[in-house]
Amino acid sequence: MTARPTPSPPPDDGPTATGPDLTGPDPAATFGLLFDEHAVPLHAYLSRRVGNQSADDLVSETFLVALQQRHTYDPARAGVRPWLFGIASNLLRRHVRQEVRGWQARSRMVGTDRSQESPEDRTAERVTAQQQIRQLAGALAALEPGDRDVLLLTSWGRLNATEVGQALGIPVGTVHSRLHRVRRWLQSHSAVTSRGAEDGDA
Amino acid sequence: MREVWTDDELDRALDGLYHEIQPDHRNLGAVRATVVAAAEPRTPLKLIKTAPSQPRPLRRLAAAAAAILAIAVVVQTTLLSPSTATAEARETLTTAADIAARTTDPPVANGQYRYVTTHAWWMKTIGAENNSFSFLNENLIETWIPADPVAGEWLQRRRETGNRKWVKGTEAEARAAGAVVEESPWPEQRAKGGAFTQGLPDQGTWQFPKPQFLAGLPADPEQLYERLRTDSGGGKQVLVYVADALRTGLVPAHIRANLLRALTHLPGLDVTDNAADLDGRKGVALGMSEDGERQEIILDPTTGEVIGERKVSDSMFAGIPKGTVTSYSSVTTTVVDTIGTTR
Repeated sequence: MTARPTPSPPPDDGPTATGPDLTGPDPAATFGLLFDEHAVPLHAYLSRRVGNQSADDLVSETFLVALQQRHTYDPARAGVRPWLFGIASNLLRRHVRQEVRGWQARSRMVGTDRSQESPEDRTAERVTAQQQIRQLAGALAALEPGDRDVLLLTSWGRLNATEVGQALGIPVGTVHSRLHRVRRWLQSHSAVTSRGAEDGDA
Repeated sequence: MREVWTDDELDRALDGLYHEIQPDHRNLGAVRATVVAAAEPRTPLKLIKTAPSQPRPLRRLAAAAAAILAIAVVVQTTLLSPSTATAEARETLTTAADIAARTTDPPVANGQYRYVTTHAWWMKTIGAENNSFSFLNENLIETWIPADPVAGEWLQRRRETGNRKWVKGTEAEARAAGAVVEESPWPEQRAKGGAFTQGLPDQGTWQFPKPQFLAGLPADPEQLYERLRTDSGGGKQVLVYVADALRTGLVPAHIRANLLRALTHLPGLDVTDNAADLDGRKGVALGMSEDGERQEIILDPTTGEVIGERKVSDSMFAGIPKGTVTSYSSVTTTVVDTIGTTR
């Protein structure tokens, strides 16, 4: 019983957004607006991957890099959102080890449940849900960084396949096949990992 | 345990992990100031436009940014982010709290039961091969709480009423695609002290506020808000936790009043609908948006009672348009003489 929509990936065939012109005469105003529109979702995404403190730094760096590289941004080629998520994904690579350690720790932890489901779900399904989340965290730690990016940009960043391709600079077909592969892998390996983890915990 | 997860199980686990980690956006005001300052031309008095300057080294920028950051943190807390709910929300909450505080809850005599009915319209998404369908699904949850909620036996019944409001697709389309619309019936549950679920903390939680838990809450509204913020993770979740607690029917009038006063300290909380309609029961909606969804509680301003809650999508996601009501529920509480009956 889920009380909220299942976060299935958004449709792929959305139009390629045409981005704003970032090279105008008043970069402070332009980037203020850009920040207001994109900083919160970007920060939410990064917090979930590397924690709030690193996310603050990464958002700051992302926009500073974007500011530096604004003349290289081509509004006709990519939406500004995937462009920013792409810069952030690059910067995130410096935090891979920190992220992996986080997922590993999470996979061993019994955390507090703050799911957005009904209180009945919060209690009745808590044990199973907690277990599944632990299993997933363990499996995420084992993914290749590029695979993790494709999966999480889709699932948490809510980018469609075209946008993920733009963000990571890979063809959309590659996004599809990677996503398919990584999901199949997680579906089989989360369960297997869990068995090991449970034995270890018990 | 099965060796392979379904797509749905994977999505649920991803979603669970997503919601478990609570982002804290409070420093973003300072980060914004940094970015805008870095974008300011360094020589603002120069009248002649020059070609775009060479990219400056990031490290020097970062050092400048750090200096600005130190100032901006101070500014941000006082100017950029609100420190309380909006004036209109505060007034609505305070008025309702004053009325709630004067309310006397109907006493439950020995042998009687507090009967709590929740009509909940929860969004349900069902999947077929390559497609998903969503509808608001009415659930009826009935709970009988004995006069002694700690030692007495509780009864809970829950069922789908079959009332559905389709949000994405139609019932015919879903059935044609092979999706299962109905869920299996829920068994009736009886439990001493309302412990329908194993492994809950003995002292209670916001979702199951036992007398002991309620007795431990601060009486000062601002401290109560701080406690809510710590327990829930802050932001919109504060409102979710208050709604959870109020929905149980276990919170006495004076604490209900205090919870409303505590919400006046919730930054970003605003009156979002002056005439919210929960299947005929009308009230004022107080809500706040976060992560693409607005959470609301609905107050009856004449009685100070929270009559229900609502969630509204605040962004286009998974084929569900912005502005769609993704769940709502209303709660009524009466006193009855016999367990399992409505009078």
